[in-house]
Amino acid sequence: MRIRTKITGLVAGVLLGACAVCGTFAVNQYMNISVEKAAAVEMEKLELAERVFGQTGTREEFERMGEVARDAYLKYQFERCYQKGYALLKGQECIKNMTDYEISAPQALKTPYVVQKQGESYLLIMKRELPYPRGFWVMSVRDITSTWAEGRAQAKNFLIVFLCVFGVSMGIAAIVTGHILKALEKLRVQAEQIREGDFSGKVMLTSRDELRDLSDSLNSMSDQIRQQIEDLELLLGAMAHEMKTPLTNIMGYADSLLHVRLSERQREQSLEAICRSAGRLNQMSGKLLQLIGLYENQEIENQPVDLEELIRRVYQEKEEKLSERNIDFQILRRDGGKIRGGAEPEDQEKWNMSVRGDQLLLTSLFDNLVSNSLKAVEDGGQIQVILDRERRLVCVRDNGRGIPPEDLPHVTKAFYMVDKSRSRRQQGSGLGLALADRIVKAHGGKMKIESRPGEGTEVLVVFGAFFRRDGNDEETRR
Amino acid sequence: MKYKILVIEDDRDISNLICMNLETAGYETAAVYDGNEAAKRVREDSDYDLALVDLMLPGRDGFSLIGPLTERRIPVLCLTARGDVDSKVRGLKMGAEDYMVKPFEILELLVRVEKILGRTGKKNALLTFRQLKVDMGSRRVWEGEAEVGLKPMEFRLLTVFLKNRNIMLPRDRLLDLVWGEDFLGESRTVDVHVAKLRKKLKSCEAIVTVPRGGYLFEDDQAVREERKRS
Repeated sequence: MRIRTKITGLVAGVLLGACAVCGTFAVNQYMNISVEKAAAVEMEKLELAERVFGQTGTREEFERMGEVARDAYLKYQFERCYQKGYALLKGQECIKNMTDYEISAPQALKTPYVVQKQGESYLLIMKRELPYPRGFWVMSVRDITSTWAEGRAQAKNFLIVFLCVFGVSMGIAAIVTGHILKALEKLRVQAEQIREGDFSGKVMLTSRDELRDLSDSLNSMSDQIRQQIEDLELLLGAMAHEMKTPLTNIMGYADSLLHVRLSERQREQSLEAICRSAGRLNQMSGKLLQLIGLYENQEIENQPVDLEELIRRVYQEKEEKLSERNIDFQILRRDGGKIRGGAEPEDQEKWNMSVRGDQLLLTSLFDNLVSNSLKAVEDGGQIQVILDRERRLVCVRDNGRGIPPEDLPHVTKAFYMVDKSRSRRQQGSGLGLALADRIVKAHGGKMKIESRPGEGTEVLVVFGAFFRRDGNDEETRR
Repeated sequence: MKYKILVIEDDRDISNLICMNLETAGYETAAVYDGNEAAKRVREDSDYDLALVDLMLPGRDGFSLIGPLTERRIPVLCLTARGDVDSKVRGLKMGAEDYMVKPFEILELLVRVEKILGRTGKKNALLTFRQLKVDMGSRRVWEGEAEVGLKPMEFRLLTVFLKNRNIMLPRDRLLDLVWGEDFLGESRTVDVHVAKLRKKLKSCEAIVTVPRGGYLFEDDQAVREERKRS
């Protein structure tokens, strides 16, 4: 069933029900009160006439009279005291009828009064026993058709008012439903657009209700989706672009090896170039897979990882390169404001900085950061990794070339390279920092890069609350 | 008289690849890896017959090099990873002769280079190989002292071989290059013409048949020079 039918039906039903109950009750009440009022007036009249009638003779006088004489006397006095519309009853029998109606079975009247329908008119019939002589009743019959008609008119008025209220209510309900349905239709159209991949549409609802909240949610959802799609498109576009250079190399050199007469040296060079380019592609694809894996929010492992141990392992992998270029690499600990170096094995037992996270991803994170520093520093430079247990912070610092301020906000974008040719020569894929950023975010942390051209770069990795809590647990357990 | 080609490309592997192939095909090359360096080189010495320019260069943008190069009557062939129409239109409108998107095929590059040089290069260029002399302007061929008469298709086939030395040319590629893409001949046609060339010219023994491949014009001189350099 459509919402319009539902709401209209509901409003109509509620209104009809309410009005029927209230209307019937009100009309009924009004009629009762009118009749009762008429009855009271009539009763007063009866009492008044009775007092006059009472003066015609005392109880003793009546008792002294013979029955026939008394009846005749009563008839005579009744005619004198009462007006039209009354009847005198002796027991069940009517002895004097001054009404316009035939009286039958008066004993059926048990209640003080009764309303009887006679043809087109309504009659109020009352009965009252005379105090004396005993066994005589006075019956009053009054035409109250006018009162009845008034009640009817009242009911008619009520019906008209009800119809007006009903009409207005239905109108208002129709307008309100119309508005809601219009808003819903807008939302539906936008949802349809989103389904078809058009994210430009925005629903602008002016009302302040749940539909507005829904439309706001829909708008922000559409923005979010568009942002994500744009991010991925940018990533894909950048990737396709970055793949072209190594692909050109591989295709070109392979083509030359196949079709061109080359010297032995040239052949070797070609093969080396192919190997280099394939390596670059491989590296790029590995990092991309990691990046996409993080995009898909794959389950990351949640195990205690000793950061110092991890960074030492990263260092060992790069040891050869570092000593080759005579670069000074230090792992330092900041403890109570003091920076201490040198990690003696016995020290290791007491001092431990661990976070919960994914061992592989964290290794990749610090490997990327150290590799970046390695690319930035000149031969003979310095790289420091400072671990700060209290602030749950790791700082990778170098005294290399630094990053120009205008490039700084972009360095975590995929495939953003500050110096393209140099970066390529150093086998950079342009994905390192983008990956590092995602890894840190996936671990609930934050990464901050500070750099001055010519002086060096400092990358701060702060592990978030999630890790502080779990990490502390881990530490106390140890 | 060899054509001199300036290769402006920042990726060393690609630069080496281009230079290697151009040299093997009989051109002389000079490689520059940086935009500013390229601008300086052109100011100092404008004796180049063609420049291959990568549009995304460190230092100075490739687009900004097109002006100075064309001013010095050096035709430009843009080589770039940017395949969008805007970049192409911009490059060509700024005066580039041709535009190639990476990744490209070496043979295509050589053909385009040759076409540009054919349009803009020295008209009376002389191709030489051992005793063989080919005058591109007057379309005459000498072997030693004697002039040899060649039919038009034989002449074109010979020049294709001389311009693509040491590169294996498949039969269908030769058909395209000599007879044109609309020619509906068989690859046998190539064989017949190669046989005629070998018969008429002694030097054409340098044309080697590659089994299941095509033909290759062997010029040991280019290879020897390369060996000398290493």
